[in-house]
Amino acid sequence: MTTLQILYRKLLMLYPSAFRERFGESMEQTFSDLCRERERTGGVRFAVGIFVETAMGIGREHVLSFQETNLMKNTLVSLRVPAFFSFLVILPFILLQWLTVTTKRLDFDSRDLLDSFVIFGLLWLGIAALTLILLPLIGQLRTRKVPPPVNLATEPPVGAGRGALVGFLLALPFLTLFSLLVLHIEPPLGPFKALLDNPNPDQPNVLGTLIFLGTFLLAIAGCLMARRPLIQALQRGSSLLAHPVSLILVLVVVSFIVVLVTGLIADQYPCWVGVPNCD
Amino acid sequence: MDTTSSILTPAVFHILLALSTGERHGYGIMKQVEADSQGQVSMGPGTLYGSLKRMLDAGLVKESDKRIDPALDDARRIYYQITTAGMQALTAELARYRHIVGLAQERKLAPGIFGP
Repeated sequence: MTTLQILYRKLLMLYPSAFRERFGESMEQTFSDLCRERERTGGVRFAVGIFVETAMGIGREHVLSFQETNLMKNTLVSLRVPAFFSFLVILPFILLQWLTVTTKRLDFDSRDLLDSFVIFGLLWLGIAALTLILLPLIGQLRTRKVPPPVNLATEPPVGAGRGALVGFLLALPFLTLFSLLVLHIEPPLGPFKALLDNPNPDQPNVLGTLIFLGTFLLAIAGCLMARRPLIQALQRGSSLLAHPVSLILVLVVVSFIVVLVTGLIADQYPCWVGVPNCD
Repeated sequence: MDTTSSILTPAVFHILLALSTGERHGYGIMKQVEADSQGQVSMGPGTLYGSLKRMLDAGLVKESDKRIDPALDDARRIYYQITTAGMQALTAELARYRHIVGLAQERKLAPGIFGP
């Protein structure tokens, strides 16, 4: 086996597993045939074309496999889809900042690196959370069947009220803190003060960031709990309005995350494009 | 999916055309497509097997029992053959092409190609 064939086999590993298991060996075989043909006609530059074409095929198959797979199952079984999708969304911003810093030869010390890590981390988490929360709902809405006759005697209990209550309690700290931050109201008590008042502006606000991140994660967990009865309702053919409290909670948390993500992008975009004295 | 009335992608069309004259394996399809299009269409493995997957799922082609190419002698080689649905889709697409060529002739488009 030649180096090209070994590399091609490695490239094929990037296909979705189902596709790879079905066609991987045949594709390898076809590539070997092409290599054999090129040995006769001469030249190896064709390999670059084949590698690029196959790489594009890999991207296409991932997109199609994502579309074909049950979105609900996809997102619940694995966090990879929202994580990967979110990374793809923030990647242009990361590249933009990197290009700006490189081309304009800006100072970029370890503090800037840490700040960027926190900002992009929050953006990544926010977009991943939105994907994780909304995709299964959208998937269920798209595949919703005609509602069957409701049989109250056999209707399974879904515990929507309890889920919404626990979800609300989990989301409350984030909703409160974020509202205070947006409205520039100084939190009155203890460690929350660190969110607005960094004792040493030259140092990163680690405590404030951790508190914010913790409440954010709790809110995502709460939203996922509140979303569960909505998914169940859609699976039964009911409407989202079957659980209005859960629906409101999900919408509120989603709105806050959208504000957080868009606010971060709007706030940081000037820095990413190299506006002077940007903070 | 009603494949007989839908417009086929160029890749699917060329694969169906290549398989219309007999069973072929992946490399054989690529070579036949190249020959049919007089070298105008060159299909890589990514496009070929991506299209084959969707065509298998849609029932336009199926895997053949035949496995070994006497010339290349590799047991891993999978042959594909066109199905009745595939042939119907190809026929419908060719009819569509004929209609378009007829329109072009009527409107005297591209006189160098369709007439004086």
